[in-house]
Amino acid sequence: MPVKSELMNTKVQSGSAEDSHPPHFKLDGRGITLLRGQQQIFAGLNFSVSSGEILVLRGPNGSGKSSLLRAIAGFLPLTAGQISCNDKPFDAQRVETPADTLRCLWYAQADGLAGALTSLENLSLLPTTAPKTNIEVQLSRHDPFSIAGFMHQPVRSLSTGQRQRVALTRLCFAPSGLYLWLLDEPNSGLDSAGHKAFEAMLATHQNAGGLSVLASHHLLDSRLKPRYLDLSDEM
Amino acid sequence: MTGLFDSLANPTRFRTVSAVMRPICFWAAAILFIFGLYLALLASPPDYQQGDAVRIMYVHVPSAWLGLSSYLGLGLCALFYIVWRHPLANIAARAIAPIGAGFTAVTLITGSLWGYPIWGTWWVWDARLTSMLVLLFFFIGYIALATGFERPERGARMASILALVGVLNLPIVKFSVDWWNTLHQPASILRSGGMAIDVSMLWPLFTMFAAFQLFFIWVVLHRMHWMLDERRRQAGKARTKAM
Amino acid sequence: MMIGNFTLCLQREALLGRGVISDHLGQVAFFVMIAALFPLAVGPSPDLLRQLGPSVIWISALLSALPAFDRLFAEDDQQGWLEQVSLMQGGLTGYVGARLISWYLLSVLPLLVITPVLVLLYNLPLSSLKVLLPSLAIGTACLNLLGAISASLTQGARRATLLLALLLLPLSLPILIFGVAITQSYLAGFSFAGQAKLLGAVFLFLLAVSPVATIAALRSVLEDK
Repeated sequence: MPVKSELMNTKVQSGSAEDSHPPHFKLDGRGITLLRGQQQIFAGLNFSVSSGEILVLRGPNGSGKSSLLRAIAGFLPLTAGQISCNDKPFDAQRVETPADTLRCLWYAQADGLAGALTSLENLSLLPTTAPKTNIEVQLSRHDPFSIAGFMHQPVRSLSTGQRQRVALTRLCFAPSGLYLWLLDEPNSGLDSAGHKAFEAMLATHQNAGGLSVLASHHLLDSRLKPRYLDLSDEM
Repeated sequence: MTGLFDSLANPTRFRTVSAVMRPICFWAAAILFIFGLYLALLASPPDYQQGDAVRIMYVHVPSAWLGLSSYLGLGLCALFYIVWRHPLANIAARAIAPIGAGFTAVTLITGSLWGYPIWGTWWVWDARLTSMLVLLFFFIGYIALATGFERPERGARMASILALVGVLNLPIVKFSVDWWNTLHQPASILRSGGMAIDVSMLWPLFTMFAAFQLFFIWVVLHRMHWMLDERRRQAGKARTKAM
Repeated sequence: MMIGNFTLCLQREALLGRGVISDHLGQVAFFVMIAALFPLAVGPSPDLLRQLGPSVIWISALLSALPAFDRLFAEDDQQGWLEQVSLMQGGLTGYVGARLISWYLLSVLPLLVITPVLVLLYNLPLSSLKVLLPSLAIGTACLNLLGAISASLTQGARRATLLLALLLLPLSLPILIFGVAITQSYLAGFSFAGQAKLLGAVFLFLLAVSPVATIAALRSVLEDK
C-alpha cells in the first residue's frame, strides 16, 4: 500500500517540523447566495471548515463549485449571507494582516505561473519562501510532483500536466497552519502517481493544521477524512 | 437624501412614482416648449449685433447646460452604483448617457450653426465649443465601455468607474482647454459679446431651459422604465431556462 | 510588512522584463515613424517644422504609447496572476505599483533616449532638450497612470484596443496641452514655470486617482470569471 506509507511518512515529517502549536481556525459560511447576472447559482448555502479539515465541493459543471471558491477568496461578492473566521467577518483580500490570521492560497486552471519564466523562477516568486537557491535545495530534498527534470525550462514550453505539477508544488512551500487552500479542480488530469502525491500533500497540510476547500470530481482517500458538500442538492 | 434614495431605489416604488411623474413632465415640457418657442422666436427682440441669429441661443444654451448636468448626473449615478451596488442607479446612468450625448451633440451643431453667420466659419476652436467636443468624447467613451463587454454587469461596473474618473477629470480638462484657448487666441467673440444679456432675452432662455429639463426627465424616466421591463423579461427567460 | 508583495512583484517584473524589451523597442520605432510622417504631410519647410516640432513629438509619444497598453494587464489576467497577488499581503496595490514602475522604465527610457534624434530632425535647438526631456518624462508618467486606468477598464472587452484609445485620448488632453506649452514657451523665450507646475499638479492628481480606479477595475475583472 504505497499510499498508506506515504501518508504515514508525511505525518511523521510534519510532526517534527511543526513543534509550536498553530492557531485554530474555523471558517463558517452562512446563508450564502450567489448571483451570476440575473441568474441564481445557489441560495442559502451553509458550509464550515476548521483547521485540519478538508472540504470537497462536488457537483456537475455549472453547479457553482468554482463560484463558491471565488466567493470565499473574495473575488465574487456575496449577494446574501456571510463568511466568518472564528466568528469575525472573513476577508481574504485584506491588504495587511497581522501574523496568526488565516490567509488563502489559490490554485486554479489559470495557475498564475508566468510562461516566460522557468519553473524554478516561478516557484521563487512566492510570498512565503526564501530566495531561489533555497527552493532548489528544498526541492532536492522533497519533490512530491517530480518536477526536478524541468526545473530550468520556461513554463511556456511545458505540457499541461507538467505545468499543473509545478503549480501544485508551489502549495508545498507555504507554512500550512496559517493557510486555507482554495483549490479549483486541482487533481483533474493527474496520473495515478500525481494523484497519490496530491493526496499526500493534502495530508501534510492537514496534519500541520491547514484548512482546505477543493472543487473536484474525484473522491479522496478516506483516510484524509474529507467531508463532501454536494452543490447539485442546493439548486 | 439617502432615505429618499432608498425609498426610490425600490424598482416597484420607482415604477409607481415615475408613472405619475412621466405624464406631468411630458405635458409641462410640451406647454413650456410652445410658450418658450413663442417667446424666443416672436416675443423677444433680435440682438442689436447678431440680428435674428441670436435666437439659436435659446436652443444652444439650454442644451449645453443639460449636456453638462447630465454628465454630472452620470457621475452621481455611478457613485451610487459603486457604493450601494443598486441596479437602479446603473439603469439611470445608462438611461442618461445617450440623452446627454444627444444634447451635447445638439450644442455642437447649434453652436456651429450660430457661428457661421457671425464668425463666417462653421467651426472655431473656441474654448467652450472645444470643451463641449471633449464632453461628447467622454459620453462616447462611456457608452462604448458600458456596451463593450459580453456580460452587461461587467460593462456597468467598468463604465461607472470611468464616469467617476471622468467627473473628477472634467474640471481639469475644462481648465486646460480654457488655458490653452487664452494662450493661442484673444478672448473669443462669444465671451466678449455674448454674455451681457438683456432681461428680455433671459425669460425665453429660462422658459426653454425649464422645458428642456422637463423633457430630459421625461425621456430618462421613459428609458428607465423600458430598461426595467427588459431586465424583467430577461430574468423571466433565464428562470424558465433554468427550470 | 506594509511592503507586502511589492518587492516580490518587482522581482517578477525584473525577471519578465528581459522578454518584453523587444516589444517596447517596437513602440519606440513607432514613435519615430509617426514623427517622420508629419514632414511628408506638411512639407519640408524648416521654419514650419521647427514651429510644429514640440507638438509633433508629444503627439507621437501619445499615439505610440496607445497600442501597447492593452498588454498592461492582459497576461496577468489570463494567466491567473491577479488572483495570486490579490490574496497576498499588499494585494493588488503592491502589484499595480510594481507593474507601473516597470512599465514606465521599459517604455519611457528608450523613448527619452531617441528623442534627441527627433529634435535634430525638426531643427529644434539642442538646448531645448533640457526642457523637453524632463517634461516628457513627467508627461509620459501621467500618460501611463491614465493608461493603467484605461487598460484595467477595458481588460477583457470586445475590441479592447480601440476602446482603450477612445477612453485614453480625451483623458490625456491636459497632459498634451501643458506638455507642449512648456517646450513652446521655452523656445519662444518665455518662462515655462507656470506650465511646468500645472503638469506637475496633473501628475500628482493622477498619482492619487489612478491606483484607486485601476484597483477597483481589476477587482471587477476578478469578479467576472
